[in-house]
Amino acid sequence: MPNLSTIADEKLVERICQGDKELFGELIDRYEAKLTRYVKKFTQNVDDVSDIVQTIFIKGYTNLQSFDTSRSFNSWIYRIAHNESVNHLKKRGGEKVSFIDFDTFFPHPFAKETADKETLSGEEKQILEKSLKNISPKYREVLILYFYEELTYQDIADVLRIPIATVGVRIRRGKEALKEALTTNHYQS
Amino acid sequence: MTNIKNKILNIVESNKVTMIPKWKFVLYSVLGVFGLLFSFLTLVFFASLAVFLLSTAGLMYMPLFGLKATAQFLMSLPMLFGAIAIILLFVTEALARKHEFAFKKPIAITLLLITTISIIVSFFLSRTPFHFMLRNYMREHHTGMMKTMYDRPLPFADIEGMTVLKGTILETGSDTLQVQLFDETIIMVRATGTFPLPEFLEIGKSVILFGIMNATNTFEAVQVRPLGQGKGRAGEGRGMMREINQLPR
Repeated sequence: MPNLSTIADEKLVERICQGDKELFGELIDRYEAKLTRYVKKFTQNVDDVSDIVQTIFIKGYTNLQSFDTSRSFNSWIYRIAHNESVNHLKKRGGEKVSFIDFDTFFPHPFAKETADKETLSGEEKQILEKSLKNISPKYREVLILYFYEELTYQDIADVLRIPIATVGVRIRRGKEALKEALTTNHYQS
Repeated sequence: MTNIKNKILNIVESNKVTMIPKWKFVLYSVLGVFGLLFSFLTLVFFASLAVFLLSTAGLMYMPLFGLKATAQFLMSLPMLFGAIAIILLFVTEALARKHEFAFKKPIAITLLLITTISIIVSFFLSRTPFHFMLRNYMREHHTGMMKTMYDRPLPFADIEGMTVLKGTILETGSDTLQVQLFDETIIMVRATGTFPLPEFLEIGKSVILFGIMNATNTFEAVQVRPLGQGKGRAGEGRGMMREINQLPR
């Protein structure tokens, strides 16, 4: 049997659908830490994270036959994680999760991904993490997917089902909101 | 093995949860496509029907097709149109939720696209003889809801007795016209508001007449305009309203 770590996610899914159920464990190994980090940061919740992640994997498994193996499994599983996290935020209340986003209707053509992907240092990530809770979930999520999960614009567009140009707009607005939140925190402290 | 992995593998291997078979997803997709197609065709039918009804009633040619007439236009849309639009919204949303695991275009964009295409296609459809043929068929064969929909009158807001007619000029006099309407009826028209008669009023020309049918079966036309021309000069509509108000009742 070849080393499982060399097999692509999509190939693993094919084999699971053919009956190798135990291979689902390999997918859990690959995504558990990533999804836990994503859910924790997006929902700003610690207590229910493992329940949410468990639900994501169960839903992923039951709907695995609907996955098109020519697409990216990474985006697919993050899409389920996004839905579960949004459901959790809605149930918990307190934060507004809008149904219709007008950015989707009027995407800005200039908001394209640059050739050099922006990366943050460990210290910058720590500062970002502290301020994430102060910004709207709409911008918070896109910043998490871009800076922490290191997804491309295309992957983020697939996860959130928004046009690729809207991803750029949200990242830019998210950074502005973050800057504002950081300035406010600075003056308050 | 992590706690979550352990739990999930136990659930999976004990068959407490199973994969939904592929044919079910295919079936949902096919039903979804048919549902959307059906809703799209229904929207196109009702939108083009609304344009057809307004057009045959002459309201589309009114120089006053402003706010009031737009409200009239909206009111004249069959109630089913609104209901179907709302049903379409819920059906699409339900389908999107059901297939939340698949990659799909944003629902809002899909709806916007369907609505836009429906309106464009409706206008083109209303220009074809489709509704004329369907109305004739309904008149001959059915007396149900469809016939009522085609034959219901569309009164013009606030103007009692106001009628808009379309026909072809048969004869011209000093201030009168003999016009054959599109349903073959021949009427006498007195052009009250358009004296002296404009030069375009020649025998054989198709015209739209705005006015009121008086007790002696003469049509008191406050305006006569050639069919197929633009909306007319600015302010013409207001002038026409004054003339209508001066007509003998």
